[in-house]
Amino acid sequence: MKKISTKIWVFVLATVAVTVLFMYGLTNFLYERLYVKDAENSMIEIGEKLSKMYTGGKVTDELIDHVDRYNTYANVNVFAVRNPRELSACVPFDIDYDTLIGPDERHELLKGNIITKQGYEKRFDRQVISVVIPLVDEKRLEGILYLYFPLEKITELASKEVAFLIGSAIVFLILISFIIFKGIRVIMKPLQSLQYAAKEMAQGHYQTRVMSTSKDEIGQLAQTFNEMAQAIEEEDQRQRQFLENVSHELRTPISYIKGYGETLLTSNISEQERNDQLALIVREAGRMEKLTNELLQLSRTIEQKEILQLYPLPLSETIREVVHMLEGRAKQADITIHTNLDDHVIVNADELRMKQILINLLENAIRYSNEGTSIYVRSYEVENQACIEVEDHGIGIPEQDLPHIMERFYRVNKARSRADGGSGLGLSIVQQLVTAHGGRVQIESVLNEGTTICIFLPLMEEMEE
Amino acid sequence: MKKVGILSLLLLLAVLTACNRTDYKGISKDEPFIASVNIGEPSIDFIRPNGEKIETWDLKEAYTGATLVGEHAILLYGNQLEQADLVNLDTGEIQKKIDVSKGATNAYYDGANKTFYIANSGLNEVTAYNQKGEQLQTMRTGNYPMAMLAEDGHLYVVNFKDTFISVFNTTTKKLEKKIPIPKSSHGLDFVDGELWIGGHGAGEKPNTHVLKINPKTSKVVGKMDLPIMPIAFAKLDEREFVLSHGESMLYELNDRQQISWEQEIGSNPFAVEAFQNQIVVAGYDDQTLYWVKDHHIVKKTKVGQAPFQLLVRENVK
Repeated sequence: MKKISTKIWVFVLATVAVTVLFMYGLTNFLYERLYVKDAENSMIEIGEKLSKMYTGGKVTDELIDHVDRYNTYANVNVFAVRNPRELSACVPFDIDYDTLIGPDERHELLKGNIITKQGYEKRFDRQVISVVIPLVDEKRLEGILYLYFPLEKITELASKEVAFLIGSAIVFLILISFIIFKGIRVIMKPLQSLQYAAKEMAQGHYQTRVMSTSKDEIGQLAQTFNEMAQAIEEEDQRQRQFLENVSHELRTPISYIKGYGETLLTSNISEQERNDQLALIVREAGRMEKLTNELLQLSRTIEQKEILQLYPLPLSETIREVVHMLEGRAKQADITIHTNLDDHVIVNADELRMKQILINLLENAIRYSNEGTSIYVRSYEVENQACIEVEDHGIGIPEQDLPHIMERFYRVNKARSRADGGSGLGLSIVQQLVTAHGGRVQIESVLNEGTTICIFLPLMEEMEE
Repeated sequence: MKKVGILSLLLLLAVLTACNRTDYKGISKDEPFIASVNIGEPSIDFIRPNGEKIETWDLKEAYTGATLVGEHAILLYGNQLEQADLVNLDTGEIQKKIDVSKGATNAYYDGANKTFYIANSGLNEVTAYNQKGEQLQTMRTGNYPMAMLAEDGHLYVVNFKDTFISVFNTTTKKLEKKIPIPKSSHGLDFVDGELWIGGHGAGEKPNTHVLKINPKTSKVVGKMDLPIMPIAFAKLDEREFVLSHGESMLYELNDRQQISWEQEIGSNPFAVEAFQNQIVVAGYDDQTLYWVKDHHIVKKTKVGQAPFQLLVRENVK
């Protein structure tokens, strides 16, 4: 019984079988209570009416004849008895005779009470319901009216047609079991599809979906399964894309290094050219190092392996340091960095990571700003949050790319020109780190005008509190 | 409160000592009575000739019968008891407990020999005892000995589930002969030298006759139609009374042995006795004694449950 459908089938079938048995018992019970009681009552009624013919004295032949005549036409059996032997009149004596009524019954009858009995009667060799009406005169039990009705138990009735009954019960059970079996299969079908789909998923076929039209729990389960499959498929897609990107990003510097390296080995080149090419190799190696560092950083942040060293950090101080660090590079690109910082803003943050966030943001801003423009860095408090705002004036980001800008290796420039010098991981890292600090990133951009990125971080709670 | 406690304790002691002293209440030595032995809830009612109750003995054991042994003792026995008690009537004390086997059906006192007999249906024997209750002799009978009558030096024992009467010599206690009778015979009497025997009848058909048997020849010399189930006899002033319990009929027979009077009496009566010039019938089902004098029921006396036997003590000599 490995299948749940088999279990349900067996359970339902057992329930049906128990029900059949219960109904049988109930019918028997009702038969006893209603049929038997009814027969008893009607016999008492008949007996009492017949006993009115007795007016006292000895039980006459005429009375016996009357009762016999009634017996011929009635559907109950009735006879009058006056033989004292049958009435247990000789009780104190040890009589070898099976009397119709016993000593205790005689005692009751003498009091004028009617006796009802139910059970096997040797005299009639069958189960009967019997009613005994006393014919009493001056405390003498002159005779009785004995009425009886064969008590055909349902079992007895059934025994006549026992083969038919058992046969029909079996046919009924087979039919019911078949219907239940079919019904369960219909109900369980989506579960089977689910099981099949899960197997397919396990084998890597992430495009598998379950077809289910039902709205019940199984239908909902199928729906949830499909959503899960969708998520897994997308994640898988992202992983592939990521790997593709990583290998692409690594391949470029490697091919540079390989090309220049080969030239150095095989060609007769001047010292100047040799130095230039070595410088190129070093630059590409640096680029590779940066890329791998960033990948490592990203992976750590994602897996939350890196434990942040949080402590109160005056934000403006950190920003100034980073701005100072990058001012040289900005100058080279003819870009001015302006700051407008609120010195009171203190956040609970890891200084190193905070700097990395700011460096990434400013590097991006410098990289995508037009020459001769300015970058504005602001920090302030808004709605109990600290906000760091970096505004540049450059190429901007097309609206359709905005939702994807944080994804790894996502580039607005699909041609992957290396002129901009980015790895495509900067903003991803920023987002990961900000999230790790409990903050969020907001980007607003207008194409060919510029981009403003806001980092919201939770404020350091007041010491007093 | 304390006084009440002491008083009840004393009362209890008095009752207990009273119980200890006598088994039953004695019956005055010289009072004639008719006693009804009731087997429903075993008891004996002792009744004066005027119908007054002298005493009622609530019997302590499941006795099923009793017989007077002389004028001052009564023997109590029970079908399922292993002891029969010989009780002094004057004092009410049990004077002897007689060890018997289970199955006592009847006891009979033969005044001529001052001997009483206990019939036992389990062993199919009759045992003779003297007046003191000492065992004398045991006699083998047919199946289920019950009714007994001693006459003319012979003890007639009716074997209820057998087809003969065992006739023993009352002196030698030897079986002398067997007289053939129908099964389920009960009740016997001697009338004009003839042995009259009644009965219930075997099987489904009830008996309606009294058989007249010549005790010498063992031959049936006649039968009288006295329906239904004549089983008890009584004599009064040379007249024979026969009681048929099946139809609750009391018949009086004249000297030509014809029914001279009949009366429906009692409800399923088993016992009839003559007492102080009256005929007394005990109705088993209606628990009543009927007193008949000059063809009239002159009084009725209520007795205990299921009066089965009547014992008579006439004027004490």
